[in-house]
Amino acid sequence: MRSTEDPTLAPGPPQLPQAPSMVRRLVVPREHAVGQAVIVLIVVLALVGAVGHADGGAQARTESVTVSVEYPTRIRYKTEGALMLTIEAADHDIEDVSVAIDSSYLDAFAEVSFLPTAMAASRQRTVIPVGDIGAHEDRLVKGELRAERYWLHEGWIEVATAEEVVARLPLSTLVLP
Amino acid sequence: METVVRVALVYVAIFVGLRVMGKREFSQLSPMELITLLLIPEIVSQGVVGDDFSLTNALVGVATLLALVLATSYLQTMNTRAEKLISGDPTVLLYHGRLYEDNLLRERVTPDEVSGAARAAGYLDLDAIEWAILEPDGRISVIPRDGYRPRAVHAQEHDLA
Repeated sequence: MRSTEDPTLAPGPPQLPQAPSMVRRLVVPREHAVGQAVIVLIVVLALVGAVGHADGGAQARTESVTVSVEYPTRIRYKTEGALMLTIEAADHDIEDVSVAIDSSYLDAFAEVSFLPTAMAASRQRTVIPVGDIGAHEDRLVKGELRAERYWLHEGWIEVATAEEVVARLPLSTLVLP
Repeated sequence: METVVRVALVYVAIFVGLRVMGKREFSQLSPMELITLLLIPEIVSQGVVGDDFSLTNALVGVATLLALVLATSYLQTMNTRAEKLISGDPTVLLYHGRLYEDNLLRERVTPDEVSGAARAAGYLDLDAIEWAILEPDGRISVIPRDGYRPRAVHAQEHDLA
């Protein structure tokens, strides 16, 4: 390769021919419009949290006790969620309180653990003893759940004393794959 | 929403990183460059999906990436300045037989690579080349001088009897 020019005096490279101009506008081919709309829709749904984790709750109030539960209403596969049940005694003590959860609902989850620890489980119910609750005191039952089975799972959670069931709340969780 | 933000941040970071590295990384890659680009997905994958290994998260991640690619593509099609910002401009490496060293150095292209591009086009000597241009995608385009024709190299010429 030879150069007969003095590189210290030579000018820079010439400009390349410019491409012709055109009116630039948005054109979406019809055959691509649906697919691209689906892609954008998925992103929008994710941004607004429609395909992410969501928590819900329920509450029941009687003369003797107020029971409230917060749990994941929408959760993704293999992700963890927390179930929190609060039992608050009203004007008098409540003795021998226990919590029971629908076992078929818990079957949708793996690595299920409760605090206090569950002491009995059957095909119908998993029982967690809470003990006595003094007047105007509350107790918290906390559960850790990892979603294992897809789609909608429904069940219930129940608070009972030795004499009666004082509250029963519905549970409904959607597990996304 | 967190996955969308993670994917978008990683996309922008890689895009800007590769953009500032120059056009060469978009063309045929040296082993070191190839290894680097193969390792990037491994390094960033955990940062992208986090601890969520669900199919939903994967679909959201992929959809986010595709949406960003679409948006980038539409943006550079609809706006000239955006096109230049995203793709860059071609760079003249050689004109009329003369190599422009400043451009070569800035784009980290060696004269051997320009000669290699000329040979790939069928020209053994750079004196036969009118233009050698480094395109925004990293390819080197070769335009011959008037009167020069490429030499077709056939594989069977080199076969031993």
